[in-house]
Amino acid sequence: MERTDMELIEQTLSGEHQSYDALMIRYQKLVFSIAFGICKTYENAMDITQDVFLKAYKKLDSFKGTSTFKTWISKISYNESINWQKKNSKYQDYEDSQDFELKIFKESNQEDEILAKENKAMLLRCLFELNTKYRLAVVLRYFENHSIKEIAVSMNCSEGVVKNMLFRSIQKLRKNLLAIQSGA
Amino acid sequence: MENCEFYRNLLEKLIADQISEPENDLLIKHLKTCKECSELFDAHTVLTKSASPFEDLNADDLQMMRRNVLNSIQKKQEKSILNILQKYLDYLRVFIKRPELAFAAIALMLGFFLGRVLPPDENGITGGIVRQINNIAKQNIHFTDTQNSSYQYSNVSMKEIDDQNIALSFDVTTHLDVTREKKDPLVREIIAQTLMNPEGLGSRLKAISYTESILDNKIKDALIFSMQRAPLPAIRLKAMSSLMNYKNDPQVQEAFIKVLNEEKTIKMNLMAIDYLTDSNFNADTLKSVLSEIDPQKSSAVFIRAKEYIENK
Repeated sequence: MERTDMELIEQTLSGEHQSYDALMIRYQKLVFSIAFGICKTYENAMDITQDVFLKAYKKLDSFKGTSTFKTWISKISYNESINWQKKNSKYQDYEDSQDFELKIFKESNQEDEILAKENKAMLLRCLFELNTKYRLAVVLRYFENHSIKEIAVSMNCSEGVVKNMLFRSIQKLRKNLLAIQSGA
Repeated sequence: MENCEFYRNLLEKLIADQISEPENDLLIKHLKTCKECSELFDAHTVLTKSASPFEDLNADDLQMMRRNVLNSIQKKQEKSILNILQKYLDYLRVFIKRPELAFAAIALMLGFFLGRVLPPDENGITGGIVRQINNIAKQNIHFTDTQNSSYQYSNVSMKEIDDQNIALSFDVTTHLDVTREKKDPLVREIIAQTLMNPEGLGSRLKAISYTESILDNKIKDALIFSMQRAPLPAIRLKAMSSLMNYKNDPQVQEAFIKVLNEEKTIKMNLMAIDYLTDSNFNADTLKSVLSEIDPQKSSAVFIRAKEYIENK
């Protein structure tokens, strides 16, 4: 039977590092997606992910279960990513889209997989058109299945602001998203 | 065109996954006639149906990331242990610089350790008694031997330590017959203790009778104790009689003044007046004390006091 987040946390705090590994496996994609959504580069997102999990480990005994662990770690990821962005905004390299596509998407010769890969690449390019906060709101809502409330907590803003960001994002991306739909 | 503002609000609710079924039906109906809203709806649908671009992240990279995290945690814990060891080494350096501190600490620890580990001192007084009672215990084979043992054990408590050992805590008394001179310290010690013993009326009275021929500060204190504290008037009176032998003693005078102030026994009050009036006790102070005697206390005491006041 799969262990709950709370069980993994308690086991980690009692010294079982393997439990923390299990927790990281569970949430690594979420943390990465938030980091990537803000920094837009693969390596930096991976570094931020590592820093987030280290910070989360240090603060693990302060997690009381008043929110879900998903929300808790999303908030840490958001804060760490924003801090990284503030420190590195002058020197940030904007990766060529093909580079990060190569890193993110596995190689395949299967036609359906190639098509899926193409769609994902187009999706990422769409996301990059948005500003940081809008992009993150979209990632959390559509790819990480966060509720509006969870996004609001993670991003330290109100639910109304989140709804507004999402709607404006759809408005902005309307044409490109429709192009994905039509297979262009 | 219909009021799209209203339907944009519904779209916003849809995107937030907070739309109700009736609202959803309304929206769907509107979408059939509004191109702009329809495109927004379609864009939302594309996102909803799209797989996450982060679904197939490089597993090796993720594994390396996790390994780095766990290694970092491990290193920090090891460093933390080293920091603790370093702290103790720093304390050690203080002792090396101040050897007297080191010696004091070692002596303290050694004393504590030895006190816990070593058996009781067999050469001291306690050791001597322990040896004696051990010998008697070995000699007492039968129950009657124990009944007639010269040592009596009281105030006993026992605690099992393990399968082999029991801790014993007890008082031990033994009956002795000795003859000593009256001035012997042991005689005075035993008499004084007897006078203070709340039990044993007969032994207390007997002990008081022996004090009449012994003038000793320890016994005097014990007699005053008995005169003031003994529950029975007979003992208090007897003790007071014995104290009458301590002529012009300030401590006894003070004790007798207290009798006049606090004691109800008439004979003791009369004895106090006789003692004080025959002693070198300050006459004015005595007059003052005697003038405060309440006639209700006893007419005999009041009259005796009045006689003194009028004659002095």
